[in-house]
Amino acid sequence: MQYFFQQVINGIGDGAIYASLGLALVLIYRTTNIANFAKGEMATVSAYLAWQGISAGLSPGWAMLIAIVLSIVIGIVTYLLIVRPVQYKDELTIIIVTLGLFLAFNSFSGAIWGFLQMSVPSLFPQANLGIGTFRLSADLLGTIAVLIAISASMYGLFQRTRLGIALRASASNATSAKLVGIPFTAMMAAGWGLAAGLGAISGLLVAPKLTLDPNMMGSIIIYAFAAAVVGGLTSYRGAVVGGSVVGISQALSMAYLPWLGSDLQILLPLLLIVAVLVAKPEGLFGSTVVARV
Amino acid sequence: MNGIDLSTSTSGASGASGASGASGGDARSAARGRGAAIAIVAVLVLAGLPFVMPAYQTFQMTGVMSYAVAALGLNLITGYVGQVSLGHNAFFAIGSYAAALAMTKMGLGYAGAVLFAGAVSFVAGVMVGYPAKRLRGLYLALITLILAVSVVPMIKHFSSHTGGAAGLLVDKPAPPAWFGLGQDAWIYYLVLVFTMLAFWLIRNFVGGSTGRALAGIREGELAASSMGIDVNRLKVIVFGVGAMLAGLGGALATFTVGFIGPDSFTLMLSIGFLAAIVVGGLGTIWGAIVAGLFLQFVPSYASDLGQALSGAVYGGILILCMFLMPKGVVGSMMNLISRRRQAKGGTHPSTSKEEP
Repeated sequence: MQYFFQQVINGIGDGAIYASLGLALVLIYRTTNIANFAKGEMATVSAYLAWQGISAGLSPGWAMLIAIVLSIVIGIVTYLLIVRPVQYKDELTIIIVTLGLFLAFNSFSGAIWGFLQMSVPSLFPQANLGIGTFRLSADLLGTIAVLIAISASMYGLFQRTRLGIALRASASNATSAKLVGIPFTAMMAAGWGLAAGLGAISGLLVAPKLTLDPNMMGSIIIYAFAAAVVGGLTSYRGAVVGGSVVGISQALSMAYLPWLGSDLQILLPLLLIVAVLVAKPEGLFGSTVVARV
Repeated sequence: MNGIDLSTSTSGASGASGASGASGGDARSAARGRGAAIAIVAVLVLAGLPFVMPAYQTFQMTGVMSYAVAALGLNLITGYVGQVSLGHNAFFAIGSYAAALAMTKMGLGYAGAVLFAGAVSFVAGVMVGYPAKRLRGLYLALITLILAVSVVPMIKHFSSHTGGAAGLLVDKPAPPAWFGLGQDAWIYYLVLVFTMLAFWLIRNFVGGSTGRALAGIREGELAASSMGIDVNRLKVIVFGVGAMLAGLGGALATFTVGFIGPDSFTLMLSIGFLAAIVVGGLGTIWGAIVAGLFLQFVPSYASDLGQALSGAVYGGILILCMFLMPKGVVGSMMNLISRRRQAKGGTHPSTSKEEP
């Protein structure tokens, strides 16, 4: 039994990472109605920026902070240059453009930083906290703390600040938002910037665990999408729940289903998501969309 | 064109007015005659190519045709019905392995193995399409994304059948004794026959009332279903047919190259298919040929630029195409032609629009 709970705890640790990137996906989808397939690759660029700062002699904390700020700028610029012109085209166009961004970012990080694997230090100490017979690593606790901090500040932003309310207004009704004087384009850009910052944080959480290379986020972004889809891509709570479900089911299938082999174990959480979507196409937390003819 | 505009069809023109209906009919049969002439010339040119091309270029053209068949399948799903599928690599892989196993384990001949591959991937497509029929747009893209990333792990897991990461060698079909042009040309002709068959089938599939129903689904699902189109059934069929073409293409490519391995079936292949049909022209039959050329030549030229930049070339092409030429090469050309014709010949009945 103790083994089981230890696996669940480890699963929550990984799930927190999927959830943080999933939150970024939900944020972009809620503000601009776009599913950004390039989110993971943008997070990889952020991790490289931090690595660059650290190897230039900055302390890891400062390097990561600067990387997050730069990522926000990259997110805003990407929105204004690439995404804005196609924002109101059909879904297919948008999917193709963000897939193009995915390839472009992936290839730029390869072109600039090469394909060798690099390591990024963790901000969390290499310590373990023992509670009874459980062992909680500082890394795990830190990751969960970061996720909670992100969730809390997003809640605060969207419920309590004028900026958050302006963002929500722009997302829910562009015309009315413009009519009451909200700077619409700036809001959309801010949404992309914020999401890029969130993505950067998840990239910085992933980089110390895996090694940093241009394809680092390849599987993470798929799990993050799976997490976000549980909530219908529109629910922040759904993304957090989805991330935990994906992380825990992944840890449990690794622990208890060795006969599946490592190849199929990584697919199991995804199958779970497919089952959720087929049963409830709008996601567990999504609201049903009523369409007009 | 909006969703209810189902009457701009070949047969509906006579309802507009007597005179324009008659002239529309003339223009239509003229267009059809011209289309048939173009098709005959194209077939003659294609049939003559192995006589004048070196063996390696013949081999490359065979690759173009196999990719074009598979791209036609994705264009049916994405271009005609508007469903975004990122899982085309899966059906391409299913067709490839089905053909290889049919030949090595079941002892089927070349043509039998290709048809078997088509049947297997049709069933696979229906199996995916059936649960996916309720999902649209983004959700379908995500489900098929999961399908796309499952391909390589599945191939590796069932390595006793698929050869795992090392791949499988497949015998290429050998030319009979009387055939004087060598193996590459022989395979070229075999693939050409299947390619023409596939294009002819799909042309007929999208040309008639089914094609208009598909356009109806693309432009407005709810409107289409309220006009009596069985949207879910058609979507499943189209997914099955699209998957079947992917499987056919995969089988043809397998026999062209003589080797299959998991690295050929990654998510990048699906993105490549999507890029190719976008460049070729969504919702056009001939766009699939451009797509085949794109898939055969662009990746290898792009990788000449170095590992890092090939993705940027691909991504840049995708984004630029969406910005500058959202209808692709064929769509833009058709626009140009119809605009010039309009400028030349005054009013121009909707029916003389080229059948795609």
